[in-house]
Amino acid sequence: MEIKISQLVPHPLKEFGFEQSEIWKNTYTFSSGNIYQIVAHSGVGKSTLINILYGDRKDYDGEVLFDGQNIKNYSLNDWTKIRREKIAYVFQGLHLFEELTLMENIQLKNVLTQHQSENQIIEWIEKVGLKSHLHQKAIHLSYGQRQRIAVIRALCQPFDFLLLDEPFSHLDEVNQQLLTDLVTKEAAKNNAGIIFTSLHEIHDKRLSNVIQL
Amino acid sequence: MSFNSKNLIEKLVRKNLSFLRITTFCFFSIIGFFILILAGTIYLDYAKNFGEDSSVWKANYVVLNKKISSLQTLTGEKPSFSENEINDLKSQNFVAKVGTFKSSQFPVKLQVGGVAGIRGFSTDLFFESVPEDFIDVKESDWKWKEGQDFIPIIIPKSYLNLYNFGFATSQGLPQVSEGLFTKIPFQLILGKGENQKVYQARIVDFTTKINTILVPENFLEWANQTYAPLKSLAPSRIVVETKSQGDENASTYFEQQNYDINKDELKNNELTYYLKLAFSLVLFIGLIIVFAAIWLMIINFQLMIEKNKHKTKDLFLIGYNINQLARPYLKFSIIFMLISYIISIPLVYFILDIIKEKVGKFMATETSHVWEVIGFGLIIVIILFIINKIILTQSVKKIALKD
Repeated sequence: MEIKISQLVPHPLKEFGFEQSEIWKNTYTFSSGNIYQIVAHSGVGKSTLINILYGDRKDYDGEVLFDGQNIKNYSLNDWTKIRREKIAYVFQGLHLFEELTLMENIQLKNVLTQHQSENQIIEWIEKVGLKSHLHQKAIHLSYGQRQRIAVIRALCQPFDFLLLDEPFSHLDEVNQQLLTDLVTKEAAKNNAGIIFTSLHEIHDKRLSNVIQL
Repeated sequence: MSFNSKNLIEKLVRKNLSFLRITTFCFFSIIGFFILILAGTIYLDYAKNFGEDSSVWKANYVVLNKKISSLQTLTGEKPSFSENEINDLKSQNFVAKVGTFKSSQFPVKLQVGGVAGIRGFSTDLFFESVPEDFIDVKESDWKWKEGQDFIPIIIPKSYLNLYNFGFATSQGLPQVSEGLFTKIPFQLILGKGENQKVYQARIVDFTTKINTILVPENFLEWANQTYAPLKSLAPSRIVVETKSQGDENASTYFEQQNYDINKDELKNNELTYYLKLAFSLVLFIGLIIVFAAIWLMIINFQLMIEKNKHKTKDLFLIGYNINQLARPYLKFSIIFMLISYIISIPLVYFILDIIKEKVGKFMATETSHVWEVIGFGLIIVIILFIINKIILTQSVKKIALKD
């Protein structure tokens, strides 16, 4: 899958103005199979860009094309399909359900797609070190623990692109490494692309494709 | 462990349902259903008592006769109207139409065979008739052609009440509804001696406005000629259509001419008018309450959705579609509605029994069938469900699309 943006500018940025950017008011193509690190200060529209690509914001000028199709023409059902089969998203606020257990939070997505076996999910949970918390409610977990769950939830679907909005902001070096390993490996398996945003550039040779927003 | 999307979403939605909230929901929807079904049933059972009475006799009619004095009884002078008097009446401003009563001038005997537990009997009778256009009955019932053996009859409703609440109760006979009464066939024997013939007859309608037994006018003309050819009488009763109800000029004119009008009838007219007014008022207020009850139920579910706003939005973002998101609310709504419906049906019957006990003594009511009431309630459930579904889906959609 290929995501092409041209002359894209969100309405809030249009009003306040912005400096030279590789994305805004420009043409850029994301291809699946590659990893893109989008670096910017806060307030330059990192989340806005991700939300536009996920179909949650429509207040922009310019065009976003998924394999040549303008996403402004997608219906609600088209978006539901894309969110189940094409694009996975780890939200900045995680959007987990506090009253559900860790496992239920993940299954909430997996029952929709029937993509992963329960064993595979448990294997991932074990890998990120949360096996003992399997049936604990999300509200009792720390932010870092919850973030790992949110990532595993996002992996419970087929995807051409994985979007992550500031995934590393609150993580220590070890956890950052853990997450990077997990998502790059799974993306490679799916031959999918990763687009993630960050406040500061992350120096990791796997994440070398840096875009200044 | 097995998971499915319905269970998980329901678990999320249910989280915001406290016991208090559920009981409040149920309480209000029971009230809503109770009012809806009760109002519907009462309307079906009682409304015709206020509507149909006037159908036999069109509005604005007054029946006149001359006052009878003791002197007249002694001299044998007939209290009939002369040609001149009728013409004078026709020329009055307030009069729209004048019709004269004709009465039977021959002996009439009525016979009923035993039907439905009522013992058979026979009695002497008389007939009267008024011009066709003063009577408002279904055309097909109220018709007579020469050579026809069947004669339609209209009797005063008071006769029916006299039977039902006076005669039948005292004699241990079953009470008979209006509907059943119109199905009883009986025989009429007209004339006497050689010139006698048996006819079939049936009551086709009831009137509260005039105290006489009516047959079609063309039949009475024919029968008078056939069975009493020599007699001819001036009319003793006149029916007048006035241009407006309660015209002062009319009352003074009738007073001057020493005509007797049925005061009760006028009073009845007035009473029926006020009753109708009261009934429409009650109906109007009832409709408002019904509307409020429906509104309340819908608002309840809106509130539940509003409380789950963020969850709904998040679920939408991870790939749930609008129908999946609306489903748990719809499921709850149908469960609430069915529970309320099931509880309110016996409540409605309880109240109806109380009302019937109070009202049934002076008003003949048609009792609607249990299945009609249950069916009526089910239709309400379905209609409310559809309305709820449309509104719920719209609200979920609105939340899903909000930034």
